[in-house]
Amino acid sequence: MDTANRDKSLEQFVDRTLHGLPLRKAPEALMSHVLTAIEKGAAAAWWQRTFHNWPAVAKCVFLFVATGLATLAVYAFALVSLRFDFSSLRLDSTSAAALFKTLTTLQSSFIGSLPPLWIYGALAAVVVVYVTALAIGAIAYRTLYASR
Amino acid sequence: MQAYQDMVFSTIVRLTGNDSQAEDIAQEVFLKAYEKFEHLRVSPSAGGWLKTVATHRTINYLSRYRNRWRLFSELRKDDEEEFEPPAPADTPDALLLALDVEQRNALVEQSLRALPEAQRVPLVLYHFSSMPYEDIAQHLHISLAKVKIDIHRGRVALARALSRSGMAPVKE
Repeated sequence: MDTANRDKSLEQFVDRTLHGLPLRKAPEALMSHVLTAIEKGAAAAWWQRTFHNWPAVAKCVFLFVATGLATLAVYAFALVSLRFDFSSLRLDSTSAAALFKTLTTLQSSFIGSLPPLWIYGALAAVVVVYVTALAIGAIAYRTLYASR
Repeated sequence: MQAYQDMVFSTIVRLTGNDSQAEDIAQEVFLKAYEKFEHLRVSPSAGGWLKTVATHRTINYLSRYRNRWRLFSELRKDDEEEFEPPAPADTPDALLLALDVEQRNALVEQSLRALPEAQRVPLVLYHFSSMPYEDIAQHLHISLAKVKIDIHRGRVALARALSRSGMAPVKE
């Protein structure tokens, strides 16, 4: 038998053999675990669920508050560490467009006021922390898990 | 849900080769199905949806939790052996026919589970899920050539394992 025929025959054999297998029986505990997880999920308060499952009002409030806090944090950081000149900025409207424009201006002014060395230093720190965390994880995996 | 639990579990366990991982993934699949319960309850394609979700979730699981460590734990050069042509294998039809059905099924399941993941996953996707080579390559993020070679190697290894262990008592 040549190689092509042999391969075809092998493919047919494997196909026949695998398709002849019955379904594996699921563990008895599977359904009870699923039902327990569903009950637990249903009993959980809305804030204990994933953000996706929060009520729409709660999502909006959370985003509004989070954005406000982030903005305040940026203002506070700029004020304390860089003595940023806030007189160049003015929140003259509460509309979303004006707020976005103000934030964009603040961001570009803030980044422009940072010394380049700070930016490079921050990027280098991020890379070092990432590589260190990855290396620690790899060593832990090889020591605690893969060697077992 | 009970009508599909064996199908979902089988789909997953044949990909992972691990019962406890398969149970965890199956649980996730049924929780996902519960979110879409109103739709699935009346859908004639609920079984197909569950099988697709189970397959994709398992592939994601394998990619996320195993390939993450590949860089560190499996530094062998896959590419070097990638295009080494596998030796042809004879099909152990006669041997399998000599066994009773339960022994035969247990032997095949055991041999399938023993295959390396790189061979088992594409083999299962091709033969059980009838997924084309191109789709397998896309899902597993590997080349088409590697898919074909891994599947062929898997077939050869499976046939050899069946031939080799067929005479021995099957371990449960």
